[in-house]
Amino acid sequence: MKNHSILRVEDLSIDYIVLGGSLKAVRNVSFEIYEGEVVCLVGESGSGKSTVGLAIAGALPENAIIRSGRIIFMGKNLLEAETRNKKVNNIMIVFQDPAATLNPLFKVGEVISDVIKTHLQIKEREKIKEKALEMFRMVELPDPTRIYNSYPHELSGGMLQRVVIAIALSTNPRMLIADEPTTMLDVTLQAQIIDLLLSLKRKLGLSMLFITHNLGVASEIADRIIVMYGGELIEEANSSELINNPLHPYTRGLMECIPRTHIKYSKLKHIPGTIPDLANPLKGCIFSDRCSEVMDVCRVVKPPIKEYSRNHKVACHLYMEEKQ
Amino acid sequence: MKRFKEQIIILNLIIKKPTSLASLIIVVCFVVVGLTAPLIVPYSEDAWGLTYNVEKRFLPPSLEHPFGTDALGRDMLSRVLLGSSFSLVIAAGVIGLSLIIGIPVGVAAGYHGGRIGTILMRITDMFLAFPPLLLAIVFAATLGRGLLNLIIALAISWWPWYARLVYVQTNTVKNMPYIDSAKIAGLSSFKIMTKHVIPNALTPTLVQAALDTGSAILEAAGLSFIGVGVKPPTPEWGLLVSEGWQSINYAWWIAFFPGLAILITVVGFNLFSDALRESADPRIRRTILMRLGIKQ
Amino acid sequence: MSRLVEINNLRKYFPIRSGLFGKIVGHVKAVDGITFSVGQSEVVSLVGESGSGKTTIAKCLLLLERPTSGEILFDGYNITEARGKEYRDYRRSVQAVFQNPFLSLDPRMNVHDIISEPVKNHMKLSRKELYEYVSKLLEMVGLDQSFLEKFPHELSGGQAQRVAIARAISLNPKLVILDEPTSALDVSIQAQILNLLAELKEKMNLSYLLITHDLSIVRYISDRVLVIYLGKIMEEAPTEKIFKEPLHPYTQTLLTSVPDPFAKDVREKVILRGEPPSPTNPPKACRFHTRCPHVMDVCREEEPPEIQFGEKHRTYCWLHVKK
Repeated sequence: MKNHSILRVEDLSIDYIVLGGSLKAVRNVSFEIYEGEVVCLVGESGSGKSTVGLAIAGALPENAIIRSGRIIFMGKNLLEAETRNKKVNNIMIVFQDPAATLNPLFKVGEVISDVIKTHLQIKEREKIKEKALEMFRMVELPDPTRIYNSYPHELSGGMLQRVVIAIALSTNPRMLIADEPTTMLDVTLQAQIIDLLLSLKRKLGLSMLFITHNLGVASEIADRIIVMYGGELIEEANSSELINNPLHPYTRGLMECIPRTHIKYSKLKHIPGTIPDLANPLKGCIFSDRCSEVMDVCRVVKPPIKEYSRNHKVACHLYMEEKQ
Repeated sequence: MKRFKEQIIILNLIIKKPTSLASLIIVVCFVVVGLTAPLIVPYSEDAWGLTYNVEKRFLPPSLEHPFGTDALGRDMLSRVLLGSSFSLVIAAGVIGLSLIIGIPVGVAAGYHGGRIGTILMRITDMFLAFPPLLLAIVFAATLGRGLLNLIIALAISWWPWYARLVYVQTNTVKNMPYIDSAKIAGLSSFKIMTKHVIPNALTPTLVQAALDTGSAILEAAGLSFIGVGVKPPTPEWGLLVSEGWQSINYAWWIAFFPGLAILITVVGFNLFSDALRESADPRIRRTILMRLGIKQ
Repeated sequence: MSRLVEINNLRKYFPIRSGLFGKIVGHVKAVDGITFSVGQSEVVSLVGESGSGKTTIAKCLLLLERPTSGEILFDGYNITEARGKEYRDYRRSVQAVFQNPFLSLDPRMNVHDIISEPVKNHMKLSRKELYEYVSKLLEMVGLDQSFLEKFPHELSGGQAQRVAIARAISLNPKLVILDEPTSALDVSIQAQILNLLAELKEKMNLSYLLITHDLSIVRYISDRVLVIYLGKIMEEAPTEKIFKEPLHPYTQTLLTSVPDPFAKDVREKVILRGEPPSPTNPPKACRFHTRCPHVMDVCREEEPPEIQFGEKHRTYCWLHVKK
């Protein structure tokens, strides 16, 4: 791939101020997304994956503080004050619960019309409606005119998620951030939405940051997968490379935790312990207290993320030594 | 200590914001003075209104009588101080009585539902349909003046609000999965109600009730002011204002000090309830933390 | 394997009321004629999506809902009519673990009180005996005594679910109903809980009725699977058979819809069109015909009969009638 980078996150650190202290939710995270690429941020709760997504979309909650870093989107740092105040309609975000993002008092047609009117500066009513219906058709909603005149509660979860995606895409964004968009849906509907996002990517050449806790979903949609744990980036590789050849003990463990549908086995592997305390993250490697292959150096020195092979980076002492 | 971690943090937050701290001080002072006033007032007999002293009529504020004296020569400071005891008794009485009626009605209607629940809630709605103060005035006038009658009249207009609140809470708690868990454990309806439903449903209501003290004092003072509350010479603040009202042109202090007491207490309680609500609500709490710039 | 619980033609309709006088204008047919059984120390999975009625079946079994018709037999008696000793016996024998432990545990109780509540209700133990008993249960679910004084909000999701499991096994039940026991948990924690459940099953000779939308955990833990859709059984088979030779098109779709990073090349994905219909007004004849990729005319007109395929494998589908 000879694509240009569309988004570059550099050394991003974000704290949340909470009762009695602060949580270091994201620490020194750097990665890049190329044009027309789907990148998945995979992690469990507390991994900081959603915080990264919110920071890029400029939708961090009020108690978040960006400690360091730059988010460069199409050559501009989104964290600089002047760019920050401008409405960025080149990046749109879709959340887990579509019902919570739509105002129950408005018909979904009114919502999308409003977005089209403000973002695209279209004045004529017919043109706005035409565009809205076109968007609904693009996300493969049946009977767009009926949907246009429906209230959110009249539509099912899968349809609402399509509506929300249509609204996000109506501003012709260059990039879509999808934060667990299929988690609340049944598996058959989840498969539909994944299918839709993939076809939109092909049709529109859309770059996408897809955030999920589900490695299975990630493997279906992503070109590249980034694994986060406890607020840090620990491994990054091409989708099939990561699935077939995971390096970091955490990624390997996560892979073995997933119950599989196509083979029978008697005992599931699991990772002992619980997710890390973000108020006082470990000094050395963030995974060292749960790692089965922990060495002395892991508890003292934080391993930097290093290229292991082409298109495969990992932050683990196991692989540092091998290379030396 | 661990159990009260949350409470300690809330208290910490309140102390850090000046208006909240002020309100906390007012509330604490009010309660302390209210409890001890009968023992600390400088002129006890004046305070209870048992004396009549012609020479001392209408004395302006002085060192001897910091709040001046009234038309019958009684020390206003003593009367205002003792008034806080009456306000405390009235507020506690009104809220206590309202809870005694409101909680059973709300729990019964919320937990059992069905026809009895519907009837109970319709009765509650009937009371809620009248403006509360009007309802209280009508009942106070009918029952006649007196401390107990005032409390009863106010409670009659007050309980439906608690019944409604308890009803809504009970309904929510009743449908929580942990109630299902209790049923599966084999607990009887009665035990589920007393051990799980009531404790979980009551907390918000009890907090609300404690915060309603300010409004109870204000309404009681209102009723006494228009002459359907306590009987003279009870040193109730509303009554004191009403007595001082006639001589406002030449003895402003008689109405002024009890009025000021009402103002400070009510504003204090209202600010305190806002502060508590802010600090206890995690979403708002964040913004306070931000504003204060607490970083650790 | 002897039968522990038998469910015969279970129906549960919820009335839809409307207007001032609550006139019944229709019914949500949450469960519409379901028959199955759970054997001694067997794990049976009920698999279905939202609206399939799987949770309603659990609620009927737990006596939290009264069935509209049909019977649930336990130890030879119909539990919906059980009173007195039979009722208490049943309550003791059937326990449950729910999806979200933070909602299914009373937030005002500490761990000791949560676990001891069912014990106190059914057994007479002194305070000291109770304390020891609860400590032993905690140990069985992999927690130590330091948790006794904690409140649910001080626990992580996995720890809270362990407490819920300790409570469920505290009365030595015969059947534990697991209603989406791991859906609210992280993947690494989900594996811990599944292993714990499997271990407890062996140790205590438990039967499980596992209710889930997630087929991937089914293969790990269960002996038999029932696939349900809009209140009706689509297919029932031993677990291995469901995964190897799924007969019903709905089962096939469900299987390929589960995102599995390792099965990407193994299978061909079937993507259903359209949304699941509402259980208020389910499709006539075969319930799946509105979304079925193999739909035929007969599917729209007549309900498919039960077809047996070898031992313990049955399905309801016209596709297999001709054979």
